[in-house]
Amino acid sequence: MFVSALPFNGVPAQRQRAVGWVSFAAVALDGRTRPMRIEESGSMRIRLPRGAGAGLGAVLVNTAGGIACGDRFTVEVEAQADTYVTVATPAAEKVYRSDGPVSNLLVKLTAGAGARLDWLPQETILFDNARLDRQLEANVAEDGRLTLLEAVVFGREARAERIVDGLFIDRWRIRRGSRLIYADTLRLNGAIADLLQKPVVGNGARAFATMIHVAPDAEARLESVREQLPSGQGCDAAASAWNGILAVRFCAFSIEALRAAICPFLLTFRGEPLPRVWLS
Amino acid sequence: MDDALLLQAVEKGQGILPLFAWLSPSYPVGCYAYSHTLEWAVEAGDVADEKALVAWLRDQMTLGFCRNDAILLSHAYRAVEAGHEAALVSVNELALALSPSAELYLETSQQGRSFLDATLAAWPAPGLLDLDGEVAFPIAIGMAAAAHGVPLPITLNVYLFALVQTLVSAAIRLAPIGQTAGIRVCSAMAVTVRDVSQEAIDLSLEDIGGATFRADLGSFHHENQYTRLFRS
Repeated sequence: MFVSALPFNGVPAQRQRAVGWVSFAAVALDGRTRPMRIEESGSMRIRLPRGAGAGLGAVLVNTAGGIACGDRFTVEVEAQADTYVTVATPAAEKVYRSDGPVSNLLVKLTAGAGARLDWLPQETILFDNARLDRQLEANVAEDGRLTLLEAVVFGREARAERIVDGLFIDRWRIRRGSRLIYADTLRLNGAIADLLQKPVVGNGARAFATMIHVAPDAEARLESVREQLPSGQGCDAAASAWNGILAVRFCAFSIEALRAAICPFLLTFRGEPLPRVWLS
Repeated sequence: MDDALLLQAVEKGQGILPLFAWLSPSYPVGCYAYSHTLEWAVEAGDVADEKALVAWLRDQMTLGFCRNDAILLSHAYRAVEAGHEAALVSVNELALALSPSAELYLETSQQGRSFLDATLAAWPAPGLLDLDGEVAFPIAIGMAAAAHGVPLPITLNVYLFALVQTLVSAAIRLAPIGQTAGIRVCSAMAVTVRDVSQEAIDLSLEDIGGATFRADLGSFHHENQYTRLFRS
C-alpha cells in the first residue's frame, strides 16, 4: 500500500497569485481627448496625470511590483474616434523567477477612426527562470494610427545574469479593419542565454526592441526613419516598411545601449517629448 | 492539350510525382531569386564556411521560418482536404501576416502566387481552387498537395528539403563554400528536415513562433545592402 506523506495527495496547495485587469477608453470631446471609462481590478491601475499636450497620457501601474509565477494581467485600451492616447509605464516591468507556472499578460489595443494610439511601456526585464507568455492584440481602423514599442531585456544587467532556463513567448497580432496584417511570435524556451548567442537569434545581444507603426503614412516615413537610426555603439537597428506597416528592430548588448538608441529615435519619430514617466 | 485530357492525364500520374515537378528549381516560381536573409548573414560574417552554414540552416529549420512554414502548410492541406474554405483563407492571412519585413513578404507572396498560377494551368485538380489576392508559398504548396492527394508527411519533407537546397545553392554563390561542401550540407540537413516535418505535422497554429530576431533584422538591412544578388 502506498500512503502519500504529502498533503492533498501530493498536489501542492494553490498559491495566491496576482490577478489584475484594467480597461480604459478615451473619447474625443471638443477636439480634446477625455477619459470615458476606467475600470480596474486587482493590482493593475491606470493613472492620468495632467499633461500639456492635446492628447491624453495614461500611465499603467502594476502595484504588485512585478510579475511572478502564474500571475495574470489583462490591459485593454481603446482610443475612440479622433482621440490621441499615449500609454506608458513608470518603470521597467520585472519578471521574477518561477518554479513552474507561466505568467500571462494580455494587452488589447484599439485605435478607432482617425485615432492615434501610442503604446510605449518601458522595458520588460526577465530574471533567470522567468516564465512569461505575453499576447498583444491590436485593432486599428483603416485610417487609425498605432505605434507600438516594446523592449525586452534578458537577465539583470548589474549581476551579469544569464538566463540558464526560462520561457518568453511574445505574440503580436495586429488587425487593420477586419484583416490580420501583422503577426509575430517570438518564442525563447529553455537555455535563453545560449539561444541568444546564436547569430540568427542575437549574436550575444541581451536586449531586443521592436517598434511597429501602422498608419497611412507608414511606408512614406521609411527613408527618414532610416536616417534617424543609430549605427554601432552596441545596438544594431534597422527598418522595413510594407503594406502600411513600418517596422523597426533594435538588437543591443546592454540595456544602456538600447536606451541610448531608442530614446533619441523615439523623440524624433514622434516629434514630441518622451512620456514623462520615462524620464523619472 | 485539351483541358479534360490534361485532367485525366494528371489524375493518372498520381502518387508523389507532382512534388518532383513543383519543388524543382525549374518550376516557374523563381525560388533562386531569394536567400531568406542569408545574403545579409554572409555580408555580416555570420556564415563564412560549411560549418556555419549548417548551424544557420539548422537554426532556421528549428527556430525560424521553416518550422512555421511546415505548420502553415499542414493547416492549409487539411483545410483543403476538409473543403473548409474559411479555414484556408484564414491560415493564408496568418501566413502572409507572419512576414517580418518587406522582402520576406515579397518572397512568400510572389512565390505563392506564381506557384498557384502555374499549378492551376499545368496540374489542375477538382479540389484545387484559386485564392483571391496574395497567397503565401507554403499555403499554395499545401493546397496543391491536398488537391492531388499527395500524402502530407512526404509533402512536408520534400518542401523543407527544397528550402534547404534553395538556400544551399544561394550559399554556394555567396560564400566561400564549394559544390561538394554544398551537397554535403544538404545531406547533413536531411535528418533535421525529417525531425521538423514530424514535429510540425501535428502542431496547432498557436505553436507558431520563432527566435530568429537578428536574422529578421538582417532582412531589414538587406534592403540597403550595397551589392546584392538576391531579392531577400
